[in-house]
Parts: sequence; structure tokens; C-alpha cells
Amino acid sequence: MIYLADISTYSILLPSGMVFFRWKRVDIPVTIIRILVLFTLVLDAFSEYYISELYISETQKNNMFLFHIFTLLEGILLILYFRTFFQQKWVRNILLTLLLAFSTLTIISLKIWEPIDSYPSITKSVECLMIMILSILFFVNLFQQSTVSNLIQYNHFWLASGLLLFFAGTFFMNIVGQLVLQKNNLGFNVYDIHSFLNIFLNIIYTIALWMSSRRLISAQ
Amino acid sequence: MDEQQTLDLGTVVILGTMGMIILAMGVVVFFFIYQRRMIAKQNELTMLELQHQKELMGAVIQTKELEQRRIALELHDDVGSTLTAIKFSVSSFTIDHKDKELLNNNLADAIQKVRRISNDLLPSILEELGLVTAVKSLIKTLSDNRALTYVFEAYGDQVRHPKDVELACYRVLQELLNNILKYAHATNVRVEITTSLEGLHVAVVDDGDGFTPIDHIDRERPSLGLKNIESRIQQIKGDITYEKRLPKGTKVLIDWKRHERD
Repeated sequence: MIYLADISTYSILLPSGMVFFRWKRVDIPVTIIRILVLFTLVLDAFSEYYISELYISETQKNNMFLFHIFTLLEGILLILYFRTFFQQKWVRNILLTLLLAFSTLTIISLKIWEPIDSYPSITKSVECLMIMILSILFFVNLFQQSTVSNLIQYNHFWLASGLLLFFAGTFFMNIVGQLVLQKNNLGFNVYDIHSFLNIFLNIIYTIALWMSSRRLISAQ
Repeated sequence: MDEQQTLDLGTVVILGTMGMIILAMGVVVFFFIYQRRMIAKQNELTMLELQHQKELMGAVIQTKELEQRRIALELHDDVGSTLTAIKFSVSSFTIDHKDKELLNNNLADAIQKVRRISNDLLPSILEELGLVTAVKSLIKTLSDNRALTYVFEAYGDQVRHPKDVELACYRVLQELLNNILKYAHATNVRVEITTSLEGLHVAVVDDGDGFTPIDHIDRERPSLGLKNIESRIQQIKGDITYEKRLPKGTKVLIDWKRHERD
């Protein structure tokens, strides 16, 4: 289905619109999510431009390099996002180390295993695993602190849940990513799963950003 | 074969993805339900703690009243009687008339003070004649202080209420009037008591600096007097409200309803 892929691409406009529509001073975690959303918007916009007829290229167009860039920056921003919730110095240092390790892995993977025009299966799979673990650690930390009485009104609960579901859902797809690209007759378009989950994640971003702009006295 | 492998791969991807999503949803739901249960348990513990604190406070107040009663009775029966006996026997002392008069005056003064202390500790008039009469007597005593002008009004039926309710209201009034005298810089105080079969309503109005309990929250030493007032009113399941009046002064309203207690 071509429509789902297009809807998935344009769905970034929802959280982007929320960023501009509800432009208010917010805390650091929400600022990081805003940066991620805007960065995704810019990258998606450039990707659309790149594959369109407007961008003239002498060689065959392959926008996979954008996906490499996106994966690296998304991983870095999400690690920084989860890092803001942990107060213990040693945890924050470990996450900083994780950030550096992930960045190094991405660059090494690019150089050795996955060229820039191929699907970054290894990097993406590691990112998925990493974000899933960080989301679970976020929940554990939330309970230990016991500062939030109503999770429904807590925007970061929505974000962590959305990220967990998205990366869990795309984990398998990313493992077999390159193989799937080669085999185009699976009976369905595997990337429909990704498209669907991407729309879901953008809706979660929109809800979380909208909630951030309201005074959540009862949530905390 | 290739097609079969492709379909197998497709099945693996679908099943794997669905499995991961279900697992992730399970994790989220688990944490959500677990957190709600934890919060509910915490709230329950907090309520139990509050209840325990209330009961402790009630026990403290009761013990204090019993002790005050004991001291009042001993003062009146032992010390008061002894002083009175000494006063009567002064006439038989072979001392100078002037010294005798001085001794008699000092003894009379001491007896008066013992009675006053005994009465403050255990206002027998409250038990015998009720809140309205006791408050009237209290205000009459306080009126000796010329710095303040007291006005007392009683309305409604002459109904007696449970002893603990009347005692709590009396003690609270004592505390409030004491605070006005010490801190309010007021010149006029008005006390109104309205009694009925349904309950009791007390109003204390002054023209002092103006006060509400929130003014004392940030202080290093919490006001024990205010805590005492709050505890006593809570014990009898009454209500107390403080209002700052314009241009100056405070109005304190105490409400007690019979059916709420029952």
C-alpha cells in the first residue's frame, strides 16, 4: 500500500505542528523530544526532495544515507532523553558511555559492515534493543521515585510506552532488514508494519508534546 | 524453494513483530497496573497514619485534661484547704498587728491565686452550668485587663451539648482569646455563641492585626497553640475557619453539628 507509506512520512507534521503551535518554555526532556521531532521533519523533507524530480542526480538515487544519519542522531537524542530521568551519577555516566559506544558502533558499522547505501540492520537492531531496555529502566526508575500519582496525565509515561512499542515492533524487521529489501515478494509489504508503527509513534509524540504545554499539577 | 523461503521469512517477521508488540504492551500494562496498586497502597498507609495521628492526639488531649483535672482538684482540696486553715489560725499568732494583717492579705492573695489556677485547669462552672455561662465568666475575668474591651452575646436555645464538645469549645476559646491578648494588638473583641438542638456556632471577632494559620506555616517553630486548636476541633468533628477582616482584624468561626458527630 503506497498510501500508508505516504501517511507515515507526512505524519511527522502532527508533532511538528504541536511543537510550533504550543511553543512554550518546557523542561529538558521535552526539549530533546522537540529537537528529535524537528530533526525528523527536516530529514523527511529533504528525503522527499531528494527522491523527487526536483533533485537532479547523475547517479541512481539512493536515500539510505539519510537513514544512517537519522538512526545515529535518533539514538543519541533518545539516550540523552532517558538520561535526564536518572539522578544517580553512575547511571548517567553509564548512559553517556552508551551514547559514545553507540556512535562508535554506527561509524564502524558504516565503514566495515553496512555501506552507506544499504539498510543499517545492525545499527538499527542495536538501537531498538537499547531503547527498549532504556524504556523499561525508565519505568523501574519511575516506580522507585514514586513522584507521579497519575500516569495517564504524565507525558513521559506516554513517550516511554510509545517508544517501547515502536522499537519492539520494528526490532524483528530491522534484524532482517537488508534481506527483506532483496526479497520483494513476502506476500505483503514489510514496511507497512514500520509505517503503521511510525504513525503510531508520531501520534504519541503529538499527545506528549500537547500534554507538556499544560500545567500538570495532578500528575506530579 | 526461493518462494517458500521468502514466505517463511515473511511469517517469521510477522510473528516476531506481533510477539514483540504484545510483549511490549504487556510490559506497559504491567507497570501501569502495578504503579496504580502501589499508589493505592501508599494512600491507604497515609490514611492509616493520619488516623493513628488523630487517635494519638485525642489520647494526648484526654490525658492532658485528666491530669489538669487531677492537679486542679489537688490544688483546690489540698493546697487551698491548707492555706485557708493557715489563714484561720493567723489570728492566734502572737505577732504584731501590722504583720498579722500583711500575713492575712498575702494568704488571701495566695488562696485567690490557687482558686484561679484551679479554675483555669478545671472550669467546674463549665461542667455544672454549661458553655455559655462558663464563657461569660471567662470573659468577665479577662475584662480586668483594661487594654481590651470584651463583648459577649449568646443566642439560641439554652441547650447543653456533650461534655467533651463544650470542653473543647471552651479550651479553644481560651486559646483564641489568649492569642488575641498576646499577639493581635487588638482593642475590641466580640464573642458570640449560638446554641441550638442541631449544634453549636461560636464566633470570635477582633480588630487586631489580622491573622490566618497560613501565615504561620513557614515559621521554624510550628505554633503549638494552633495545632492544639485544630486537634481539639478535629476530635469533636467540628469545623474552624479563619478570615481576615477588612480593614483589619480576624474572624474565627467554630461550627459543630450534632448529626455529623453521630
